[in-house]
This record gives sequence, structure tokens and C-alpha cells, in this order.
Amino acid sequence: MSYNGFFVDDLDEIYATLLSSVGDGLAIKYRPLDEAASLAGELFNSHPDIVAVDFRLDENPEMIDPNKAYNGSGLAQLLRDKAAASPEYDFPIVLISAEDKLERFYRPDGTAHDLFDRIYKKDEVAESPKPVRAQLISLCKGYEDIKAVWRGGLERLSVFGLYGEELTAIANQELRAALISAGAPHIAASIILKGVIDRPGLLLSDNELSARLGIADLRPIESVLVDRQIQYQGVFSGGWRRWWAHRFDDWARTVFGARPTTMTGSARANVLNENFGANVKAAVSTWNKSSDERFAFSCAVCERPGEIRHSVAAFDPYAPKHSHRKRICWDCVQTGRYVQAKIEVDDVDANLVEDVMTKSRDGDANS
Amino acid sequence: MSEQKKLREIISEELGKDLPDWHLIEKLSRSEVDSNDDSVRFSVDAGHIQRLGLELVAKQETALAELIKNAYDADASQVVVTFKDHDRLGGQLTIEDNGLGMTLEVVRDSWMRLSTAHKQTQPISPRYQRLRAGRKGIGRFAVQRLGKTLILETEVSGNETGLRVSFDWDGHFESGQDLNDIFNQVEQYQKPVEREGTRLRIGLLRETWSEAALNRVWKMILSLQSPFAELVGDAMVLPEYVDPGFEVQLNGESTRQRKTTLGIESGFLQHALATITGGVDANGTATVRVVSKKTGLDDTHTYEKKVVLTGPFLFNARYFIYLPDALSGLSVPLAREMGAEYGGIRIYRNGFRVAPYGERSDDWLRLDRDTSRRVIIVPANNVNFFGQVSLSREENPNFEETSSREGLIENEAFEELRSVVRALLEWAFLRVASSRGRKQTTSQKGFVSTVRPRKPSEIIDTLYTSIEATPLEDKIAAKHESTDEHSDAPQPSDLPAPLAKPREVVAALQALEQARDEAIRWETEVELREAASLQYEEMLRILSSLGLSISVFGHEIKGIRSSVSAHLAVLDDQVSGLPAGVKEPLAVTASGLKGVTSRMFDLGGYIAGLMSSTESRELQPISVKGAIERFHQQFSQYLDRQKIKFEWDVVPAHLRTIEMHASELDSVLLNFLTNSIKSMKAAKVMPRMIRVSAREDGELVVLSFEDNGLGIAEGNEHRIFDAFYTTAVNLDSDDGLAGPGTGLGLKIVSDIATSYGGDVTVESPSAGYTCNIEFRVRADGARKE
Repeated sequence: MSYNGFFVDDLDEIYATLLSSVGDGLAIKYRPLDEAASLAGELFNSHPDIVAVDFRLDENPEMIDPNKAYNGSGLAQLLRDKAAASPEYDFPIVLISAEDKLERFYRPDGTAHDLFDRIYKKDEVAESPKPVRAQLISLCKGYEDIKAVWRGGLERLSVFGLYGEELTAIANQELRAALISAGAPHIAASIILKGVIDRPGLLLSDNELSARLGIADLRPIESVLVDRQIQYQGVFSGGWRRWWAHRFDDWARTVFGARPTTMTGSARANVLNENFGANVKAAVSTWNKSSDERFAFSCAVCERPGEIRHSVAAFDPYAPKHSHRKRICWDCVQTGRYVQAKIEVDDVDANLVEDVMTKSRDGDANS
Repeated sequence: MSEQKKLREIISEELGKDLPDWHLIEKLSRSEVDSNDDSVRFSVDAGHIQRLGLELVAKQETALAELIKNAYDADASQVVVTFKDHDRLGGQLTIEDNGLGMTLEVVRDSWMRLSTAHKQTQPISPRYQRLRAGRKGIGRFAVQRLGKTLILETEVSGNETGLRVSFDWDGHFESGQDLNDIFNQVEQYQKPVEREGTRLRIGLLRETWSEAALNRVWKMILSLQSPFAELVGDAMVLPEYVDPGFEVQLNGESTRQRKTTLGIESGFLQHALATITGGVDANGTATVRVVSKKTGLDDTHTYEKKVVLTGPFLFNARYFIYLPDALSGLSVPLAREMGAEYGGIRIYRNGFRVAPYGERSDDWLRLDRDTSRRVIIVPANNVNFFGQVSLSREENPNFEETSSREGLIENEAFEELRSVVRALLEWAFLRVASSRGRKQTTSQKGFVSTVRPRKPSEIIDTLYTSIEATPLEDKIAAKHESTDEHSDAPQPSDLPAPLAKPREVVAALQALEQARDEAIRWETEVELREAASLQYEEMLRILSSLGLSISVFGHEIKGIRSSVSAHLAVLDDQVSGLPAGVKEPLAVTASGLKGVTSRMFDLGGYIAGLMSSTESRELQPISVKGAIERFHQQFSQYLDRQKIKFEWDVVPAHLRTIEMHASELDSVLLNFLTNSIKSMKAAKVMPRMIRVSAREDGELVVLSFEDNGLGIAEGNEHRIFDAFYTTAVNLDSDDGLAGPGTGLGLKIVSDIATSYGGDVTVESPSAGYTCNIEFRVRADGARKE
């Protein structure tokens, strides 16, 4: 099956071609600008599977009268309004824009943040079109899945691919209530994408899983995890590989005989290698280069495995209860990397930051 | 027999001779007349000649000036003054003019007649209608002042013979003799009929004429008429007919040659801060106008009192202030020298200068006195003016020169002249001060000057000028008050007047000169530094504006980067779908296109990254490890393409700099990197290696940047940190990132280090490397574990 969509931009037509040409399953047409309401109506009425827009749509006066110019969020809002009235025709909307414009215009505009399912930098799309394309297809399919169970209330939870007791166990009240009360598929999609896919908790990313296994690279042990059906197969899984945290925890307790994060990286790597002949390598502390640390999370900044004792809590005001709090490793704190990544340290650890800044550590820092 | 009868007999006897002695008859007749008891009359002692010459004319150059003026009065166009053996006593001086010459009658009735009224009755010369300078009929006795003997030769055009009269002043004109009894032999000699003129051969000169004295003569000759043609203008009374001019030649050198320098000096007047013109009209109304183009001043003032005694006259002056901002590029020392040499307000009468007004030692307008007493607080010493007051005998009859030719008789007219000229001048220079934003009087309390602070040398100069310009009598008085009476030092009266400065004054002036020299040396150094700094700032401004352009360029490049990449990705995809045979050449082309655009995007990416890092103006301690990591990450693709092996280490890892801008540390690393790339390219080494290491050294962070390029030539270790020093011009600068050398990179690095308490030095490289530059800044002072 192939999904159809539009890319709306006043300058760069090529992204439509690019996203359509690097594989099957997605056909994106370039749509030049028009008066906002007309364009929104035309787009919505053509029942697209996805719409991609650039944020700045006012840079080409030949295409639109500057007095009538609007930006991507304006168009997205019109489309979302229409979708709320006709949820059966709801579709994902993604933003594809230049990095500096995202930083300078989109990021400060908080009202626009809920309008888009995903945000892509044009650089990213140009350099790695295939993963982006896969995520766009996944979004199309995810919306299709959500719309298929839209009228069912609790049935909406089935999009995760779990059933029975297992579903009851993971579908906590916060998530359940949010999904049932969602007014439109795009709201449900947003809850899943931002609350489940993007945050460690119910699901774990590859990096999170590596950290919890205390290893540097997940690939040697991937097949084992897949075999144990730990991999997430639910909505949006085609675009974002995730692992079920509860299934992983069950499996890990069996393998390690304890909660894995109570063991050092070296010990866990040894167990994995002994049990599965996986040839995994233990993770290395970003702080002291030791593998004898109890790795427990993937740093919110550098994504490398980190240990609790050499980390601080990241500030995340929107974190749902079922998610794990993100943490930042001391190395990212001491080198100022977290500042560049625009991730704040939670106030509970603010005092610790000052200490970390001047803390000596064993071993040299070098390339 | 009575004396009277005896005299008559002798006279009668003499008259009876075939060749009577007329001199004897005349003398006896006079005695006979004088013996008359009914009347008496004046007689003149021969020694009177000495008084008219030697005792009346104080200076020998004044005496010479009188004789030159006589030549002018005689309608000469040239006068040749020749000294022989003038550097010792008994030398000879010849003054020869081409004037009208004298007939025997003129010699007898005018030249040989004391106090002749000839020039008074005939004030206009017959040929060129010159207003005659002489008047009293005694100027010619200056010859007696100069030498002991005189041979007067005078020739009149149309006569075949000339007249020669010899005088032996000291031998014949002795006191006790009656002047009437001294006869001088007149000799006639053959001459060309057309030749005319008068020649005075003065022998047995009474004084030596040193080079300094000759220079004074020149000064006197040149100042006989205004040396500044510009000042003449309407103020000079000029004849309306053609006068060939008046040329003086002294020892083979003509006034024209001498005036060459003065010609330059005439241009000098154009640098005046202000022109002051004024005078008194026939109604006795005195007005003055001051014009200063430099300050935009043009103002006129009328003197409140009527001037009744002076008669109409004009005056004209140029006002100078010896400060750079008031001289519009003219050298201050040169201008000051000119001021000392020619400054002052002179008086010219009928076109000829009246000494001593405007001389260095003269202060007839009381300018120096009042400045030194701070009655005047603006620059207004005599040396600050180049000017003249022009009087004429006809318009200003109340002015009379003293017989000594050393000034005007200080009568009421003169006092009025002094008063009105000073008042007009003072109004003018105060107006200039006002227009320059200077305080004009001491009573201006709370006055806020709008001018820049004065330089030390300028302050010293003012002090120097003030001391130097203090009237001589004051200095002498000071000297007398302070000098030890047993001192061996020559007393002022022993010295030539212009040089007679008390010892303390001389010492003070010398000390001031030394201080001024030292101040000028300091100022020069400061100005050089300032100039270099300005040049550096100028270049930084250029680079800054260039940076803005580059920023825009970088932004645009970054903007199109994704678009180009997207196009290339589509092209790749389209090419991959083509049939074999068609696909390959297109794939090669697409690959080549991808390569060159990547190179371009390296630069764009770098610039965009740099610009984003400069967005933050916040000062904060910088993690050296973090900075190097980011730097390495940013350039990793570029370094890979350039086949550069990049290593780094930071010990301790928490090493942080003092609070600074993150972009500055980035800039340091970038400067090092670009230099290294250029150097390694030029050295044609492979593999290319760069090693960055950072360590703590006491309170400093030391960042060492090493490469295996050309290294730094011995002797250049310090110069490489100077502004505009670059070796990159000879290196390959084809690289987009490394770029051409501006000579500012390491200077900027050095400035950054210095501004954060560190420095930059060239150090010994590690094994395998050829160049090591170490950058130091203060470390973050926070507590360490």
C-alpha cells in the first residue's frame, strides 16, 4: 500500500520528490502556496494520508502576497480544526524546516508545538531521507490504526498491540484516560508519540535498552531480544524501534537473576556473553571510563549509558507518570554539553552541578 | 695793537698775495667776526662728529641700516655691501649704490652739512618718487660709527668725473678743533659718463663683524622692509609709479636669495589661526576685524574712544597659537622658531622699519608683561603675532624717530598708538579664544573647556615661551636680585643685549628644553602606539564588517545546503534507476558534484556554527574538554578529508577557563587550526598531525597546539603575534577554510590571552611535531575536589 501526501513550501519543492523517490509506500506531492483557507480546504478535501509543511511560508513574495502570508502552524491549525470536525479524515502533519528557523521561530512559539506530529530539519531529511520516510509512513499507518479503533473507547488502547492482562498492566490510568478522552485521532497520536514513544517508561529505545543491559552496543544481543518478543510492535513502531520495558524487565530478571541495574556493566556483559555467546562489550562510564559502574539510563544529552551516581536529573515538566525521569551524565554537565543541547538540570540537583563542574575524575579526558 | 686789528692786518696781507691762503683768511675772518663784542654765535667743535656717529648710533647694524636707507633715498635700485677682513678689527666695509650720486654742490651743501633739511624740504626722491626714509640729515654720520676712515666716491650721470672725498674721523676730527677748520680734500677722477652712484669705503672698522653679527645685519636688512609681503596690503604706503625695487647685496648674497627662505616663510602666514586687521580712520575711529577660517570666526569691533593724536593708520597681524590643532599640519617647532625669529608687532614708517618695535626683546604693546602676570590668560605673547603698524610721515606727523634711530619719541601720540593697537589686538585675540572654547579671563569661574587636554610638551612649551618672553629688564632685575655679587659669570651689561639672560633663566630654559625633549619622546611613543592601535582597530572594523557579510553568506550557504543535498539525493535515486551503461557516467558526475558541494558545506557549516556560538555574549567559565570536543566534532569531516590526524587530551578533565566568551576559545582553536593547515600544506608532510593538549599550570590553563608543518623560523617567535605580521602570503591559501593570511589571527589570539590574564608563546614541540604554540588564560578559580 502506498500513502499519499503533500509537501507545502514556498521555496523547496525538492523535498517532495526526495521523500517520494527513495522507496515505495509514500507519494508526496509538492503543493505551492495559496490563500491559507483555500489551501487548507483543498488539502483536507483531498483526504491526504499526510501533510508536510515548512514553517516559514512567507519568504517568496512571488508566490504569495506578503500581506496575506502565513506560517506552517497557521496552515496546520486550519487543518487540525477541520480534522476535529471530521476525525475520520484526520491525518498526520509534520513540519519540515531549516534548523535555524526551527530554533528562531518554531521553538519560541509554544502554541504551535501540539500541532505537529513530528518536526524534521531539512538537513536531516536531505542527509538521511530513508529513516524520515519510514517515520512518515509509520505516521500514516499509525493514524490509520488509530482511526480504525476510534469509535471504540477503550479499544483505542489496542493500538499498542497488547491484550488482556498485559494490556491492563501497562495501560495505566493516565494514559488510558488521555486516549479515551482524546477529541481527535491527532490528539491520541500526540499522546502516544510524546508520552510513550519519546519517553523511556513503558517503552525503551535502543540506547535505553543498552544502558539497562550495561553494554556499549545492542546489536550483538538484538536477535535474542527479538526472539523473546520484547520488541514493540504497536502503533508507530515502524518509524521508531522500541522495546517493551515490562517484557524486558521480566526477561532480564530471569537472565541476570536480579534487577540488572544492581549489577555492574562488566558483570552484565559477562552474563550475556556467557548465556547467549553474544560477544557484547560492557558499557564505559562517560565519567571515569570504567565498566564497573551500574549503568541504568541513557543520558538525555549524549545518549550514552550512564550510572545514577554520576548523573543529575533532567528537568522535564511534561513527563507523564508512567515515564522514567530523564537524566544527564556528569560528563555532559562538566563539559557544558547539556547547555548546548538546551536541556536543563532539575532544581533538585542544581547544587550538585556546581560540584560536578570542578570535580576531578580518574583518567584523562582525551580523544 | 688790538687782536682785532692784528687779525685784519694778517687778512689784508694774505689777500695781497698772488696765491692767498683762503682757508686762513676764512678762519681769521671768523675770528675777527667772533671777536665782536656786540654778538655771539654757536660754533661746532670737531669732536661733535664723534657724537653724531659713535655715540649717537648704538648698534653697528643700525648704523649700516642708516647708510642703506640713504641709498634708497638716493633712488638706488641696488646697494652692494662688501665686508673685507670683517672678522677682525681694522677691516673694511664698502657700501656701493647705483643711486643718483652727488654733485660737488650736493656734497658740500647737503652731505657735508650737519642736520641738513634737504630731505625735509624734498621728502620725495626725484627719480622714483620714493618717500625718503631719512629726515634729520645726520644718518650719514653712521659711517663714523662704523670705521675710523671713509673714502666717499660719488658719481653723477652725465659728468665725466666723479668726486672722491676722504675722511679720517679719529685723526682729523679731534675735540678742541673748530669743525669749520677741518677740510677734506675733494679729488676728481675720470669715470664713464653714464655711471652714477655713491661708494662709501669705510676703513679701519671699529668692531669685528662675526657671522652672528652678519646674520643680524641680514635680519636687519630684510626687515627694513616688511619681510611678509602678505602683510603689506593696504597697510603699506606704496608709490603709484614704477619703482625697480631695492636690492641689497651683502658679501655676494642678494636679498632675493635670502628671501627665498622668506618666500617659504611667507607661505607660513597662511597657517595663521586668525587674521587681525584694523586701524584708525581720518575721523579718529578705530576699528578691528578678526577672521579665523579655522574656527569660523569673522567679527568686527569699533573702539569706543576717539583716537585724536595718532592720525590715520592701519595695522595688520596674523595670530598664531603654537599647538598642533591650531596650526593645521604645520610643524609646531618650525612655527615656534618662526615666532621667535620674526614674531612681534613691528612699526613701519614710510615703508621702513622702525627699530626696536617687534624685536625679540621689545614689548612695546606690553603683551609679554601682561601674559607673564596672567593679566592675559590666552596665548598672546609677542611671538604669537606677526604684524605691523604702518605709519607715514605725512599722515602721522606726530611721530618722530629718536636721533639714535632706536625708536619713536614716546610722546602722547605714541602712547595713544600703543593704547589703541593693544586694545584692538586684545579684543581680537579674546574673540579667537572665545571661538575656540577657551577661557578668556580669570574671572570666568566654572568655565568648562571644550578642548582636548594639552600634551605635556605643549604645557612645557607655553612655560618656556612665557619665561623666554619675559622682558629683559625683568630678568635682569631678577638676576640682580638673585645673583651672587662675587659671581664670575658675565653680567648682563657685558653681553649682547639679546643674549643677556640671567644664569638662572638660562638654566631654567635648559631644564625645560630637556623636559620638553623627554615629553616629546614619550608623546611620540604614545602616538606611535596609538597609531598602531588605530590601524589594528581599523582592521578589526574591516574584519567585523567582513564578518557580517560572511555571516550572511554562511547563513545562505547553510540554507541551501539541505536543498542541494536533497537534490543530490534525488539525483542519486534517479541515477540508480537508470539502465547500465547510462547509469555509470552519470553516477560519476553525481558523485563529483556531491564531493565539491560537501567541501563548500564544510565552510558554510563552520561559519554557521561559529555564528551561533557567538550569539551568546555571556561570560562563563569554559570547559576546555567540552570546547575541544565540540571543535573536533565540528571539523571532524574536514579533518578527515584533509587527512589530518587529530589528537587531543585534557588533564584534568574538569579544567575550566576563567569566565570568558565561548566563541573566543573557539576562535583561538580555529586560528591555530587554520595556521597549522597552511603550514602543513606548505611543508608537504604526510601524515599531517595536529595535537591539542590542555593542562593546568598553577592558576593558568595552558592549551598547547602542535602540528608537523613548517615550524616557526628562529627569530620570528615573538613577531608572529604582532599585528599584520604574516607568513601566509607565500603559503598555499587555496583552501576555503584555511584561507589567506591577514596577519591578525595570532594577534587576536594573543589579545584574547592577554585580556584573560595569560599570554601566547612559542614552545618546544613534542617528538614528531615541529611547531608548538601555547595559549594561556587564567583558570576558573572555583574550588576543586
